Amino acid sequence: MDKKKLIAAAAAGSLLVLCSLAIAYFTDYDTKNNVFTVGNVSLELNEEHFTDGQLARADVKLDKDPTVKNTGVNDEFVFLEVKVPKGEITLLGSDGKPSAAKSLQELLSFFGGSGAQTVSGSDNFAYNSSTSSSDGWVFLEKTSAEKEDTYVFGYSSALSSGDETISLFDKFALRKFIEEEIEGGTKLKIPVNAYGIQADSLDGVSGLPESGSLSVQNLRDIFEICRNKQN
Amino acid sequence: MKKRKVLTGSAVLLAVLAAAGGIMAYLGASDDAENTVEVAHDKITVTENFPKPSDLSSNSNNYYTKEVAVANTGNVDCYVRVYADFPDSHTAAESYYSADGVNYYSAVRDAELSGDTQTDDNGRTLHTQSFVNMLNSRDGEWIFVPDDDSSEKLRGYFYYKEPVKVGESTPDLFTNVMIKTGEAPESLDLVVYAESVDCVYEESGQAKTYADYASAWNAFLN
Repeated sequence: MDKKKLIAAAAAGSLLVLCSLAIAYFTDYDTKNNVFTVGNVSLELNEEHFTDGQLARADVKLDKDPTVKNTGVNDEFVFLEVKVPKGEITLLGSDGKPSAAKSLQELLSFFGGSGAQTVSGSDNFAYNSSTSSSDGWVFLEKTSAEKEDTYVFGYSSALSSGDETISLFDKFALRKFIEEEIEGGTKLKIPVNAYGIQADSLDGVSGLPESGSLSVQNLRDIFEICRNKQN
Repeated sequence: MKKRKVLTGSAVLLAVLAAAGGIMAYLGASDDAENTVEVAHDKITVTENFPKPSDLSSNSNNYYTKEVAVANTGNVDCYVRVYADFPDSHTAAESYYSADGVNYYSAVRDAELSGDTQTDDNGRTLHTQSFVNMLNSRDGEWIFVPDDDSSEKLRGYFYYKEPVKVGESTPDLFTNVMIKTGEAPESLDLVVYAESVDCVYEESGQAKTYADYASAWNAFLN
């Protein structure tokens, strides 16, 4: 760039600055609102039929149907984490007799709709899983602590803006155990956490399919990123 | 010199973009719900107004205040039943219950359905009719299932026929007791014991409500 061009450019720049400063002196002007959008990931955890503070009776099923809605702009991968309270109880069979010795057990059972799948190794946690023909939830992991077990599920495919998952499960019930092993009136918390992460340009995860269902490993890898973001 | 400034400016810009890229590498969001449920339980307490009794006097009618009711202290509506009796049958034969402080009925369960009365010096009426038969003939809130009733498992208890709501109490089953004594009265016991059962039961995962006290107790005792 020669000296003349540089001077011309500088002069133009100076003029622009002067224009903005001295605009009051002109009789006409025009403005434009230029909106620059950035990616937006947002979600909503819904439990349409759950009523907080209900009374839980043994084996009486109560509505609880957590879903996740993509309320953002970008496609999202979404996850649900459910914490199940535990206690020292003696589980009773359908005949009302003890079915096992008193031990540390989850206090609640969860039920999905028709075709629900039970978490491997569990006899009290069924969920609405994905199938070869429809999206649904995929069990990822269960971790145990003294007072609660934590289950993590991922949704089988990316959720588009405005879309909502199917419910993770539909109902839950207090398990049948010897009365007062858990004192009557005890309030049990069932925290549910929903996580979402952008589905596009997730280059930290290898082997992601272009579209369609994700593998369990895909979802575990993605959830690990979500978890790290939370920590 | 100018070139160096431009290069420096570009480096700063790239560093800012790189930093922004690091922060915005993955967009995420979360939401949570801390749901709570309360463990249901039927819990009751026998509530008695029973002033410390004076010693039994010999050869007399000894009257005592004993107001027996049952309070629902749990968090569900429930049915209640009460067992009340003198363990010693000889004592029972000489004892009376009253629900109004005026009319006293025999504590003997299988006494006559109706019978004679006599009035004492204080205007109280003693009935030979049994208290349980009097209750059942009134068809009131309390009912007694006699020992020869076809509902074998329900026998021997007083039943409050309506559900007792959370925080509420039954009316008194009886309010006074009278014990007739002979020459050398001995101390005696009157046992009052209550049980409860939730008005709601589970059937195929659904909450159902028992039709009445009898169906609730029959199901519970099965």
